[in-house]
Amino acid sequence: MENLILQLKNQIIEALNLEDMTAADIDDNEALFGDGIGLDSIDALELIVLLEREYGIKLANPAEGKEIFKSVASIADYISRNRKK
Amino acid sequence: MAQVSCQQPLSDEWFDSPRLYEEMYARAVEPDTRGLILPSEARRMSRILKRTVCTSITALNSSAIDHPDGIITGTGMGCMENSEKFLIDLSRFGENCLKPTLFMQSTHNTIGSLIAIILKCHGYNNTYSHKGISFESALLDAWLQIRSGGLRNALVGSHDEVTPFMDLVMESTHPEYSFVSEASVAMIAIGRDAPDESDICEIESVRILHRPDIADLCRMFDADHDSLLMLGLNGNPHNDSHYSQLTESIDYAPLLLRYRHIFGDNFSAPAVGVYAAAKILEKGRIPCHMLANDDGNPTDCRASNRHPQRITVVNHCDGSNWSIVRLKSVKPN
Repeated sequence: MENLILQLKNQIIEALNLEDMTAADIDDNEALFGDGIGLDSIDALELIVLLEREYGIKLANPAEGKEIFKSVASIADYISRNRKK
Repeated sequence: MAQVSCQQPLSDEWFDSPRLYEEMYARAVEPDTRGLILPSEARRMSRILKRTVCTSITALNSSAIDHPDGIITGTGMGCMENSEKFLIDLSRFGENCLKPTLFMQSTHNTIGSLIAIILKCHGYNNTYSHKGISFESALLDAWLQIRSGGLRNALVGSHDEVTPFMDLVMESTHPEYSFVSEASVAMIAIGRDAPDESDICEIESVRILHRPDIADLCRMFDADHDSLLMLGLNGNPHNDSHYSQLTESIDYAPLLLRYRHIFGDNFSAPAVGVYAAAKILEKGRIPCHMLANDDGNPTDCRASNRHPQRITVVNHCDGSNWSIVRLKSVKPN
C-alpha cells in the first residue's frame, strides 16, 4: 500500500500540474478538495481520467466520488480493491 | 504594449541588444509569471495562455485602463500545444478517456475567453483566426469599432505558439518561412480626440487587401505618408520577392525596415511588426539592425538617427492577403 500511495501522489502531481509540490508535501489523509490541497471540480474530472487510464477503473456511480476522492489514502484504498491493471 | 517572443520577454532589450539565433527555429523565452498570474491559476494554463496573460496584463498596467470595453484576439493556430496533446491522447486512449483540461483549452478562442475571465470583462470578445492575417483582422475590428463609437477601447492581441512538430510540418507547408519562432503581443487601442502623453503612437489606418493588383497596391502608398516601410522580410526569396515587387513598383524610394530577422516567422509575426514600429516611434529612433537595405553602408545607418514621424507596416500572407497599418508618432518633431 505504501508503494501505491507514493506512486499515486506522483501521478496526481503530474496529472494536475502541481508544479510546486512533491509527494512528501501531500499527507496521506489530507483533504484533497476544499481547505486541504485545494483541488476543484475540474481536478476531480482529471482524477477520474487518471483512475481509468492507469488502473482500468471506471467510476460507475459518480456519487461515490466524494468518498473515494477524499484523500490520497482513500483513493489508494479504492484502487487496491477495484484495480483492473 | 508588451511582447513575449524569442527576445527578452516583456522588455525592450531587443531594441539595442537583440538576441541572435543560429538555429532556424527557436521557442519563445518564457516570462516570469510572478506578480502577473496566481500560482493556483497558472498550473492549469499552457504556455501560450501564460504568455497571453503576461502580455495582456503588462499592456493594461501601462495604460490607465483596467477593464477594456472589448477583447479582440488574433491567432493563426490557437492553443497548438494542447491540441497536439489532446489528439495524441485521442489516438492512444480513444474517445472515452480524455483529459478535460486539454479539451477545454485546445480551442482558438480559449485565449480571448481566458483573458475575459481573469479581467472579469464581459463585453465584446472576438477571435480572428486567418493564418498570417489574423492580427490585422483583430486590429481592423478594433479600429472600426472605436472609430464608429461601438467601443471606447479594446485589448488587441495576437498569440501563436510553434511546437517542434509544427515547425517540422511548416517546413513543407510554408516554404516562404525562414527563422521560425513564437509570438505573443498585446496592446491597448484607445479612441481619443487628441493624443495623450501616455500614448505610444497613433494608428492612422488599417487596411487588408485580398489579391490586390500590384498597381492597385502601389496606389496605396505615397512618399509623404509612407517614407518608412516596415516589411515582413525574412531573407527567404519565396517571401521577400513579393515585397521586392512592391518596392520596385512604387514611384519613390522608401527607407525599408525589417523585424523578422530577430523575432522570427509565425502567424502572429505581423503583430510584432506593429509592436516594433510603435516602439521606434515611441523612442524616436531606429535601431540600425532593423534597416532592411543596410548592407554595411554607413549612409544607411545614419538614416537611423532621424526622428521618424510615420511608419507603415506592410505584411503579406502567402502573397495573396496584404495588410497595411499606418502608425504616426504622437511625440513632437
